[in-house]
Amino acid sequence: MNAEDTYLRSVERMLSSIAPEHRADVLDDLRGHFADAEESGRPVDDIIRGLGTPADIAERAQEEFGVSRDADHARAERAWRVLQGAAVIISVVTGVVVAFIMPSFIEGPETTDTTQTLVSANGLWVALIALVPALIAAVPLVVPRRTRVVTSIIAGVVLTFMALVGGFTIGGFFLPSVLLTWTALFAWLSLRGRGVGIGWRIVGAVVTPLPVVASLAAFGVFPGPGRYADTAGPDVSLNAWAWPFLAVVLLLAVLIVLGYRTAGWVLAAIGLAVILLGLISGELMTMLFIWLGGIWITVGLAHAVTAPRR
Amino acid sequence: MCMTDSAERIATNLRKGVLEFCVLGLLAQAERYGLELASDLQARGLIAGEGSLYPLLARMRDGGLVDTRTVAMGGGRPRKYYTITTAGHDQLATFAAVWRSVGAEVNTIIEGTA
Repeated sequence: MNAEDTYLRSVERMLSSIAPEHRADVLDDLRGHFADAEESGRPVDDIIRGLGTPADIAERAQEEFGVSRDADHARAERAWRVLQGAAVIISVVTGVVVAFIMPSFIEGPETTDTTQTLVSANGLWVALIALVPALIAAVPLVVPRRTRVVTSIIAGVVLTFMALVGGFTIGGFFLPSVLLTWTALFAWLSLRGRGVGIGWRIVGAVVTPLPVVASLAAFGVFPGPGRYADTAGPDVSLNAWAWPFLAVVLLLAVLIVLGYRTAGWVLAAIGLAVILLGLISGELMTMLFIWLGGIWITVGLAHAVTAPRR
Repeated sequence: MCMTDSAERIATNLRKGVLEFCVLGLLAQAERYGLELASDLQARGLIAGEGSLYPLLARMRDGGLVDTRTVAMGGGRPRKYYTITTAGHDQLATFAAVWRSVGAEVNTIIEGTA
């Protein structure tokens, strides 16, 4: 990507709070400016210096169209609250289900499958442990705003550590909260700074279908010996629902790249449904469902709250 | 140093208010394309960065003060020329009257104190 494209993209990102037709007008004029100036023999560096910084142009545009920096900040605030709030809510739901409802299959040397829940097996204090991630995720929401970034980083690191150390036991259930916390922080910093561009949407769209593709591969739908093809009973049924599901997910991914905000909400709703399904089903597959749902809810919400006006 | 800073600040504020009408004035003389307008305004010291002109033009077009005309160029690239509309002419005339009266008053005051 050359310097001109980089410059134009930067302007486009910073103008995301402006109405799309005005944004298009400004970018169109800037392209013409580049073309005319290049034709007259001015070097690109010189043209860019003459134009001023993208931030200056964005500031002028915000003055002209009555969109203040405050509006951008309000948008960043809302995006962050939605994502971090989702992290807390999902942690609470997961914590309650893990502690009180789900049969424990992880505790003790002999128990691999019992009907006992964590609380009935270990006492009420386990419930407190299961709700610790929710408390940690909630801390950035209640501290003063100037300490938000630091608190979020600490919360993110602690949650990540818990999820990794916990691994396939209780910790892994909180991966969605980890993803949401980091994404919330990134959205907060980006929307207040240089904005989010198409790269953000592309990453989301690429990540979205990956789990389905991976599970299709793992369950032996693709040619070659599947790892679980012999042991997993519902091979055929998985195959049957996975393909149309993949098609829907791919469609959503494409709509996300194109910038359709609704696609984000739909994907987040699917993600939530998958998490709840995983929690309710209470089988060993639970963890996969929660991770899958966690990825979708994160990508979906992140897109829905950061997508530019159109 | 302090003097130039405050001079710069005063100039920036004043230019901000009159830039729109300078654009109308230039377009009243002849239609111009973006780069022409930007270079002209910058040479006159009326804008700092040329890029800040384009949000202004977008808003003025939205408000019906200016219009655009696309002219096919050699090499297939179209060039967008800005023209002044009737509403733009009216606005310019109004500004000219206000500017003369305000300017006269300001001059009287400044000369009285100087």
